[in-house]
Amino acid sequence: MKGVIQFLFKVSLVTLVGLGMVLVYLNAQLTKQFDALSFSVGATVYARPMELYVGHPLTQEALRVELAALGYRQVSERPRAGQYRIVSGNRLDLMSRGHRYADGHEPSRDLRIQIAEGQITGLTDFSGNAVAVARLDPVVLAQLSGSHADRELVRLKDVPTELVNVLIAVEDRQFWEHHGVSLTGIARAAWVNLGAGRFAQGGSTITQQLIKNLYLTRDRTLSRKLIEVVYAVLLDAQYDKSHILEAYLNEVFLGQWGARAIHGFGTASRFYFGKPLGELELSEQAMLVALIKGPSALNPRQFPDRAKARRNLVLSEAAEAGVILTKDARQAQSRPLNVPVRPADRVGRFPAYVERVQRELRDRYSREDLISDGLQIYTAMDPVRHAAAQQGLTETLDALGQQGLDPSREAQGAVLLLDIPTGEIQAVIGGRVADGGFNRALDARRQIGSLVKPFVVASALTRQPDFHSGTLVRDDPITLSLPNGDQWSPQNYSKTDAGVVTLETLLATSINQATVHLSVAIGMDAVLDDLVSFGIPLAPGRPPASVLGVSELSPLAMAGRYQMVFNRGFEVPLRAVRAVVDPNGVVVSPKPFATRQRMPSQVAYQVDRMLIATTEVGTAQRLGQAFPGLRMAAKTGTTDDGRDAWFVAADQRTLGLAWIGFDDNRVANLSGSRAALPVLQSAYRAITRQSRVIPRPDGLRETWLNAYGVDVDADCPGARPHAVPVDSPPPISQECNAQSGQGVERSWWQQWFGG
Amino acid sequence: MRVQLGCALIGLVLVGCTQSPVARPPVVDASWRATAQDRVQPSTPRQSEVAPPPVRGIDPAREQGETNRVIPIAPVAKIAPIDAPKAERTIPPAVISLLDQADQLRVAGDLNAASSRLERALRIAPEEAEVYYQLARIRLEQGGVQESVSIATQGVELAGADNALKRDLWTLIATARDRLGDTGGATQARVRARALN
Repeated sequence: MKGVIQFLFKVSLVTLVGLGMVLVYLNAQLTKQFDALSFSVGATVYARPMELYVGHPLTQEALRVELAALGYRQVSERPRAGQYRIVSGNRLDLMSRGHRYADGHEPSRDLRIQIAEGQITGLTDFSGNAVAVARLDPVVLAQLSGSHADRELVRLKDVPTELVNVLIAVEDRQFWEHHGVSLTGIARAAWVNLGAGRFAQGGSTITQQLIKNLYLTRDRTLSRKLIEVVYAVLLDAQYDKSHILEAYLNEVFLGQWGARAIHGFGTASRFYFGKPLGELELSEQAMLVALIKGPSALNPRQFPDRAKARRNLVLSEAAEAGVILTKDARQAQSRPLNVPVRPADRVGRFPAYVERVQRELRDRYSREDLISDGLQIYTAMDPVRHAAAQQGLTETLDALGQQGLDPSREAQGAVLLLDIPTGEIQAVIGGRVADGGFNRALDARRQIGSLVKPFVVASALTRQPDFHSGTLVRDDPITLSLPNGDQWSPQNYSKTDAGVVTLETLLATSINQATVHLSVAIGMDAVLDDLVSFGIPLAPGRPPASVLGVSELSPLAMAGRYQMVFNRGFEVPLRAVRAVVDPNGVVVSPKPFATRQRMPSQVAYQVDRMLIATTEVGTAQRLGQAFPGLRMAAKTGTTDDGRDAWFVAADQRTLGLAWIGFDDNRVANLSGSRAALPVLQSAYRAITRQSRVIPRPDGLRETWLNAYGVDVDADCPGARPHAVPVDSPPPISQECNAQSGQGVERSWWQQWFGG
Repeated sequence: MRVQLGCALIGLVLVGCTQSPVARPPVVDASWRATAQDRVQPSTPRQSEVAPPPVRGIDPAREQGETNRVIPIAPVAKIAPIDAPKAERTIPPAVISLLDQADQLRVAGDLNAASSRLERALRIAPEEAEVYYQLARIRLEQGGVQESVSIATQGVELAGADNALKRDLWTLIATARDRLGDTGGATQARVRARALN
């Protein structure tokens, strides 16, 4: 007997110790996972805010796209914050939301915007007082927060009190009192289960639901239920209620969209209503709370009647619990569901751009700091332009597939849009699909082909101040002896020689032999040195073929080189990030605006004009024809066997660059004008455009030259406008087809100096 | 002199450079240049072991699409010149407002916010030299001396015929160069400023 008691005692002791150890283990597991979860809001990445001022190029449509992206709602009465009203065809009233920017607070304000002919023609408040300049709030591009990149996380203090009260009234009335599990809840569930003869109802507290969402599968077995209860008690003992509630608000499952699960109220608010949680009406808050019961079965897009019934039940329960007034509940019950048909999903749609943002911040912030609480990152990303660039690439790749140029449908591409004077990056498309994979815009290194030619010409113009766009260059076979003893005879693809061409024709029609003649005449070493100084690195061994583009650069680096040309020779370091504000309100500009002259402005101007000629009479004519009356500059690039198709274009403000090719660098028979040009043609069509107008720098004057670089009458067929150096004028003739200045008056230089 | 030197450099027998009344356009040409072949020799012996990558490139006919003519022809000849004389300079009200705000912030000592307002102004009016002047001034106060010179240099480029603004820009450049210890450069800038009086 004594032995039996001793045995039982030992057994129970071992069991207790064992249970204790299990508990300690479970607890360690739980706290480890829960702490790692850390629902920090993370860093918020913003697009550029839309600036409003008289003269700002803007269409009604672009404004409405912006307002839709921001979740502004159209109303018919006087707009409140986050609402707008169409007053007439070209006038729109809105109340902006207000936003704390890096450079100070932009207040919520009433704005009356008048738009005509592609720009803002009037900007006042509702009373008619002129407003000089105002900013809308910025679109959120992404939340950078470790594993929750696609969630819009919220802080408890930012969640409307009403919503929290309704939630607790409906899901867990004893939340603030119980210890993780609710005995009354369990008793009620047990009663129901007994009656049903099976395990049907959970009686779960919010804490238990959180556990279930976080750690457990959805099956309803008793052992699961037991572990859930133990976890809930442990969690409640160690974390305060508000911590648990905040985690719940960010974790609870509220819907499914394709492969994407909608977790948390912040994300769900965007997903169902297209606006931030703080702007939801009571009826909308109740709809989200209603969804907890069964996000799929109650999906308001699919089952509006069921959803509405459940929502109204939630409102009744909340009124019955006394957390909202009965009359408010009734009023909310009479509201429509208000769920836009298409989900406004924009979190995580711009991985290539966000990657560039993260790289710019890499030097200053560790990965941990970057995703830690509350950094606000302001960027230059332009949602409208970004969509235009993506659309251009998608359309073009589809067309290549249909034309049989890409039977495998594996062709890839990259697109960049930049603001020329500020170097701000507005769009980064890294590939066919915006999946966050290989970012070709930043990381592909490809031969640049003819994109190098403007820099060869710039070298010539820099070293020979008497050269200009009408200077003649030989275009016939040329052979160079290479260091290894080989002979190099670059050829024009056409296998024809023009004999002589002007520099303008050389660039506009991209002629190989003439480019090599020019380089050798200037001095191959000197030209290669200049390429390096313009920021085009050379392949090992400084191959002379560098002047025809054997250097390999990324699309982004190449866009930077052209930014310099289109900005009068002033290079502005490219940047996506405008400013970062840390949680203490400290503002950091990782890369403030800077500029550096790397090319004489006269040279940049002349090259710029020759690239305008390229859209008029050269390899980019198709672009010029697509936008009649709009002056643009452009350059095509194609590499051997059509492995790479490049296209760079510029209107007054926007530089676009497109690259098309294959990741495995296969022979592709692509060409810049056929494969890459259409990308930008489509992108420019979708954005505001302005003709390129560049003031002529000192030292140059305007004249008309024929194809032989002779100064002729402007009416001569084939004569084109050129800017020539004041100090060394070209020969003059009254004969339109003159190949020299024969038989005519001498140049003014000769007259003055008897030359 | 300059023209003759240029002609000599490209190694041409160029009638226009001599006494002849006949002016001929020069033709840039590699093969007439005695030293042309030397120019592409490697600068270091090591490089002779590196085979140049194959020439991949550039295939004008393909790029040209349907147009194979090298010499451009008429269609655009009548388009107005690119740089019609700039109309009277007027600074848009939005930019004036931002310049004012920036100035107040600068006086209050909030240089970062001031700079940020100026960058907004720059986005609205990137051709406006006054914005570059104000930005250069702020950079100098922030200690970015070299950056200040660069921004002011671009301002000079954009200032066109606004001599008063050009003078201010050159004076600013002179001050910044002094701080960099570039006394010669500072003096040059002052001379240019004075010439605009």
